[in-house]
Amino acid sequence: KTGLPLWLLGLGVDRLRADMSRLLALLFHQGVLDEQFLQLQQLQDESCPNFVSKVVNIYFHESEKLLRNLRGLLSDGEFSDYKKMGIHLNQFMGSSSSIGAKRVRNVCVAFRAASEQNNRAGCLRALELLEHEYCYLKNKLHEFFQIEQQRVLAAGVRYRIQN
Amino acid sequence: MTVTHKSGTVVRGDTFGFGQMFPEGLRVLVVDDDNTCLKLLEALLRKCKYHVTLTNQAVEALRMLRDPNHVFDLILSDVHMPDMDGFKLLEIVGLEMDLPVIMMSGNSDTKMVMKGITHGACDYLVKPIRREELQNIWQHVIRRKSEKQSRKVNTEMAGQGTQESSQARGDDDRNVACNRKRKEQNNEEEDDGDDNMQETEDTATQKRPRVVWSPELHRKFVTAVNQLGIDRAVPKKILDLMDVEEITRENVASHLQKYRLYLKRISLQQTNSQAILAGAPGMIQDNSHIRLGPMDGFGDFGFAGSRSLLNTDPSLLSFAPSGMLGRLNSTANLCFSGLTPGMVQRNHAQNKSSIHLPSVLPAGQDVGILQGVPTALEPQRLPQNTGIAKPGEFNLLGEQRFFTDNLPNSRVSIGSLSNTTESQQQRQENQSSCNMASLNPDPFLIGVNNSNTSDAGRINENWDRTGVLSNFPLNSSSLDLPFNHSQLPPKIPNFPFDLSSGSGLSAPVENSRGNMQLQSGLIGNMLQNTSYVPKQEEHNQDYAENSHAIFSDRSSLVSGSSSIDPFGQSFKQMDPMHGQGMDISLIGQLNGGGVSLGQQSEEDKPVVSTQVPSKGDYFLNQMMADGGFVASDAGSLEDLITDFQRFRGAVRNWRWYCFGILGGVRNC
Repeated sequence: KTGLPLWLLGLGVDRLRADMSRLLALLFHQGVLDEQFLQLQQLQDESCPNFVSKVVNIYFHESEKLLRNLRGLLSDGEFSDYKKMGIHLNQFMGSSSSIGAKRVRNVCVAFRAASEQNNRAGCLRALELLEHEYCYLKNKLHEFFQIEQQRVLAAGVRYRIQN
Repeated sequence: MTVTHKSGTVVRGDTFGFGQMFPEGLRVLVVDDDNTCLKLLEALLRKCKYHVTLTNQAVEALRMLRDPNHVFDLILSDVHMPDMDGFKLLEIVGLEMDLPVIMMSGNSDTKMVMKGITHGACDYLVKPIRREELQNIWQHVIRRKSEKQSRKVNTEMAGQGTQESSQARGDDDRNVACNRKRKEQNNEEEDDGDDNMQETEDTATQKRPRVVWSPELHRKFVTAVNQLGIDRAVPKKILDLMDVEEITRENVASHLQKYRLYLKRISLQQTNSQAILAGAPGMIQDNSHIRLGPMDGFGDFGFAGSRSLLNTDPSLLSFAPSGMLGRLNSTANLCFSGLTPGMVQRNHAQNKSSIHLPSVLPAGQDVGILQGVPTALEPQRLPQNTGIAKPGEFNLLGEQRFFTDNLPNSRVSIGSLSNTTESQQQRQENQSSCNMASLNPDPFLIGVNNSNTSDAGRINENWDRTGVLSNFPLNSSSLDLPFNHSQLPPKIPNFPFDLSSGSGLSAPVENSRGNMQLQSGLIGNMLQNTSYVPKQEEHNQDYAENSHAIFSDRSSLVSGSSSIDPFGQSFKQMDPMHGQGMDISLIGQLNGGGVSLGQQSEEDKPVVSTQVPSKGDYFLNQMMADGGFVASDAGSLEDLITDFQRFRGAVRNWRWYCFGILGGVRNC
């Protein structure tokens, strides 16, 4: 019970869709996402209705693990295992590029370069940046999915009303 | 972990046992420790109508492969896995099951690609993997099956089956190597004129069936050659040493000729890589470090030979000058005696006039390009080699090797090369796309160039802009201005960076200098200079109001809770936490503002009198406006780091904000 009459809810569909498009356009413009994300969307259809959000949620789950690991490695004063960091980074890069998270991936590239040079300070900076970029991406994608949910809901309402 | 197994019901029909609907129903096993990619690949492969089985553990994959109940046609395996190295899995599969394996990785490093190919992978895909790439993977299955068939036919004819150019090498575990050999064969045939095939045909006018050079046979051959010494290896003696019945002296002779050509090609590569690294003619004298030793140890060349060839590449890349010149001389003469005419012939024949240094990239994988290299480079290099005649060619290959090594983009071309049949065209394209990167030997830049060429394009843009930006007078005086404004606005709800309370302004001001410098370095990479200057005065004001406007806008659209409001909530909570010191990651805070800024640049909202840390705004602007943050050059990495250090502490509540976000994120 949202307090709105059902028929009004249904009318929000177009506006919500417009919101989603605008948000996506913004993210593309900012370089946060790239066309790989579109590929993800194309894979979503009736047989996999929530594909994008499923994949993205898996990505979030894995990424946070990776970020924690990276943070843990770098917090250690005795840290010297750049190789391990490289492994984590490789995975992060692979999954980020598969999602279309361009900026996150770019930071990973810089991070990896710093780790290959055994540059601890650089790694720290890069990690901070990475966390930031990841946070931003996550928030934006959460927002995106929320609008999507509402749109689906509203579309369902509209359909029911029309019939 | 999750192992979804789909049992396939494939209608047995024609084409190697596949149904009419082939390649639909292809049974693919995917092994990847990254669950994101696993899920994505599942969807992609399903879209291609393949039967997909997933696992994120290599041991589980092996178990399934060894299980007779499970039949697979093709395996996609990631390279970096925690429980087992992808290459190891690759080898095991090749030995035990002889199925085509395609490697995948987020890393497009040439060395890794090389390793994959030498270990017998059919192909090497770089993530993100596109649908088009997956739609073609079935060809590897067909190719392997057809090779198996013809090999079977060959053995059935008592080792004297028909020798087709592609199956001649009889090693069906080395698909790519076979393809390469085929291309090489074709090239040699076209260009040399002294075609081995022809020779055999000429001598075998009696229509003697062709001999299949299996790895064991070749190994014996090489042992014999090494025993005799490459100089004195004559077919008759080799034949005696080998003590194999089914081959004739003519077979050995033709094989020996191919082997010699192959060795020569290897040394060419060495010279090229070394010369390129040298970058100057003078360095050619340092050929000495090129160890030609590995060439003696080539167990198999050609077919499986590409494997050993490539295996030795790491050694080729040891650019430590040493006094091995004499050794080089001897081995050079050893290998090259009598081969010049052939090579020169080939070079001329292969006259690719368009070749220039950077374009010889995807060389390691394609013999055709290797051969083409000497054409362009030889004339320049040779004259400078007074002492050693042949090493001129060494230089060429050295360059080549250098580029292949340093240009990860080449792997992209390799993958696509093996996937499709367009050879020249694609090489040219890839070469040109690599040109940009090849001009810059900087490792960091090249690392960055790992990303798609669009990023590389941006790198160039950013280089230009860096010049602009560094000229920008970012002195603290201009920064102080906004801070000293008495019109520091009252707190704006939802606005994260609100320093309006006035506390600690001095600190940010102090750091602003550093901040601007940070930005000049940092932002040099992400800059949109046009918007930069005007924003300096206005940004403060635009920022908060826009963010506010956006937030309220959104909340009106989305009834109930949206992610922005809780966002805003956390912002408010951050406010009391002034004075905590800043952390650059706090640009997290910029998230909220970022939205507005981005939109601002698009929509030109009116200026608002709101205070915002100017640096934060700049930073935001740059980051939001231009996206890709890290496309930078090595020089700026150092700047980046120093700037980061200065940037710290500039905006205090950023850190808290980010922690808040992270805490929220971690709790999700």
